[in-house]
Amino acid sequence: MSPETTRKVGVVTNILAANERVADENRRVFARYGLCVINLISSPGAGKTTLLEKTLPALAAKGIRAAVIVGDIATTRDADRLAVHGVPVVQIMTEAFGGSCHLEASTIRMGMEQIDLYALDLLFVENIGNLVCPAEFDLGERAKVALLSVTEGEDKPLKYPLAFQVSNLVLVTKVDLVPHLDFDLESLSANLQAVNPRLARLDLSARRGTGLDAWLAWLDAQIAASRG
Amino acid sequence: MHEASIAQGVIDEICRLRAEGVWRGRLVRAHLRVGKLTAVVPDYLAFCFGAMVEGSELAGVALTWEDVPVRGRCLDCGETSEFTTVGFLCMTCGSPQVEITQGRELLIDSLEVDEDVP
Repeated sequence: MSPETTRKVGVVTNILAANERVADENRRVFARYGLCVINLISSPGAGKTTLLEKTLPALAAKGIRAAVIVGDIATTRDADRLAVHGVPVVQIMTEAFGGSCHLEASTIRMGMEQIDLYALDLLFVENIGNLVCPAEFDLGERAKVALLSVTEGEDKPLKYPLAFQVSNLVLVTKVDLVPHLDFDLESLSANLQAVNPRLARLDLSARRGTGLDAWLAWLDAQIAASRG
Repeated sequence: MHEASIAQGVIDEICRLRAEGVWRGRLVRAHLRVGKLTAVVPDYLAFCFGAMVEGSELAGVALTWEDVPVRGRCLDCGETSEFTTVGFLCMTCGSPQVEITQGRELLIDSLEVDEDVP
């Protein structure tokens, strides 16, 4: 074919438009219910499930009604761990040998349909353990929270800048292990500052309960703001 | 990696634009703009796209792209910096209060079509 027969059509359209349309719909649904939705993003093993195991009973004690949508590519282990806390837990996408690397707005939509949103104040999305892909997909959430465990190393914000760019809060987890590691908290601060100086940060150890009060206070503020 | 999801997004948008009458005929090329601060590897994306359109009416469509550099505006001094490495400090005054203004693009920029083909 000769190039003369072709015509260039300028379109400038967002490739993720389909996901963002669904994310916007999710946002409207969440707003209608005054529901606060928090998207937890981290590497595998940073402590998302352990954090929720400690957070859910504390929320229940304060009368906050929470639920969790868990994304896991294989096994229902996380959902099983969380279900014992008596909150609605929806597991989405279970593939025997592993599947997707992130959750999209449409998968959240499917999860939402299995929960009575009226009976909720707070919905956690435990994203698939991965610091790359989940950062790219808007789910319609109020806030993204990145977890970074001290065993991962203080250079992770530099290696995975997008996750820390798009997050509203970083939780530095497993800080009870710092005395046993070479981990340098000051260098972590500098790296976070270099990537996103406006990123709020809380240090905690879910295991020891350190920093949980500050995390719960942060959640309270998010819930209050979602109620409008 | 999630490039297959992104490739599906490219296909969906191409089909939507055709349904809306933005283009007609045979699609020869889709040209993208990919920000350097997206979590997307364009080579993987092109590979996924090629595999996914095989056997369809979009088979053989060339997927090309240009990188969009990361730029940010300093909230303290107002100057714009272009960043080639991570660490977004204002290159004029050194302030960390830099708002990223460019580099997260994930766009179909243009489509090259042969309109003589029905």
